[in-house]
Amino acid sequence: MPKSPAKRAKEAARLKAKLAANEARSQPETTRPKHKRRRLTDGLLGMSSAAVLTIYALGYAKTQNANGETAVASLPSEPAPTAGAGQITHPTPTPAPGSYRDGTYVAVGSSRHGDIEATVVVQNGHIASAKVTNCGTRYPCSDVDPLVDEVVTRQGEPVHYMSGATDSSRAYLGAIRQALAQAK
Amino acid sequence: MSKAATADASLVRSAIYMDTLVTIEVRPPAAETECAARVTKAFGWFAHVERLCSRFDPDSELSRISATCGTPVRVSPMLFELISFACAVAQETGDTFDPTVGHAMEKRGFDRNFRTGERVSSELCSQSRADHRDVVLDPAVRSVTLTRPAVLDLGAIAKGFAIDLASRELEPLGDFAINAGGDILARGNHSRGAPWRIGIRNPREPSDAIETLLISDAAVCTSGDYERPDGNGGHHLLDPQTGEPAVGIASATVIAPSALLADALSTAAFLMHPKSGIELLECQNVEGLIISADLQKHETKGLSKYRP
Repeated sequence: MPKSPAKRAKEAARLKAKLAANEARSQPETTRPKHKRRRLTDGLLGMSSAAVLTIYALGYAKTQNANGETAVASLPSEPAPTAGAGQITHPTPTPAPGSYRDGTYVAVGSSRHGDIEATVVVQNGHIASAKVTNCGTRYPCSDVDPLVDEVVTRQGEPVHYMSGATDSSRAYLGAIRQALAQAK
Repeated sequence: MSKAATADASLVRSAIYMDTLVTIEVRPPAAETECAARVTKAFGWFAHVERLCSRFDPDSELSRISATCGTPVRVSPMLFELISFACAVAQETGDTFDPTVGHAMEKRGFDRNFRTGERVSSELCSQSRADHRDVVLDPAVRSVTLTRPAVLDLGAIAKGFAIDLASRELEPLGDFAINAGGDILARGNHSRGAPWRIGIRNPREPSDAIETLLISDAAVCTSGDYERPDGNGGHHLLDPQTGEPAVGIASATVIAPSALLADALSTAAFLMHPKSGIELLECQNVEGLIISADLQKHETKGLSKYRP
């Protein structure tokens, strides 16, 4: 059950006090502190938990676009690693005013880890939305069951996620570029 | 955002935030409507953190601080907490970690807004290099004052923070994982009594896991020398003392109760000698694996408890 806002605030206040105490302890440092200094407190851990609790208790404004869509203001100029052949789904025949022809464009960007399919919707010559619509032969990012497709192994057993693997976004940008090239 | 509804009934959604792919997986989603609503709110935290903390958006709150020198800037609670935490990590790591590394990053080409492709450039009016001591925090009025011109960069902790906030949102759902570009938090189990299997990327073999860990209620974050090449063959983890990419370490992985902490300490450990890095992690009561450039493994004493 989610905690009531009052309880959350109370919890946050308690941790804040602890955090303040921790800070007070570590304040008077005249020499450069060294990480070698042994500590028995859970300094950074306590502080990180307090920060998360405090901000979570405060909540965030509901006005933002929190539906996970990624608005792309202009063509990302980062060169794509590689871009697969894209296909046009249903572009409108007449060019609209603006940089791009209206339509929905789908393209695939490839990284060493797998492909990402992006769908870009152009309305009135402007990009209305750009989304990841399918992704990953190795990364279980979307429509794939992680256990079926995740074949990265150390001992022949699948891992669900891989720590340190960060380059999926470049594949995404590659896909977006490719999709937009069709809309020119 | 994409949806998956397979027989095994995992709810999996992905979206791009902070220049990386963020995936949330909930298994099995009991009440689908509640589950979907919470996942949407969880993504909302990523959007929120990105908006406040982007160094690449000249209008972000973070950029506003970087543009103001000598005058206190009142900031949102979130930014205040994050900057305070970054400065605490800087203190705790004997200056190895430093949030004022932003200008050095800009100069090395980490200057592009991933959404717009636009470049950012900050002219600092002083040649003297600022460090975290030039970031003065006043909790009473929640203000940040830069005593020397600097560009703040929270890239080493913002993702971890967003993961932790998203995780609070998903808490009532039980078993879930959040993967933000290789920074991962896993709660509960993947399937009946079996924890999540989290690989640690082999720094030299992208498709290979150099270790597999069983993770049930922890975050796993890795900083590696293999990502985001800057065109000169350098990576994005700069030594604040030199402004150059740190050498000697291929990757540093930290397992901690909080993603914010794991994110910060994996960056700090990456910037140190492996032995000092392990000492730092043990001192902070977290576990970790540091792989040196010659692929030697250094690990904390307690790491093996996560091995299958």
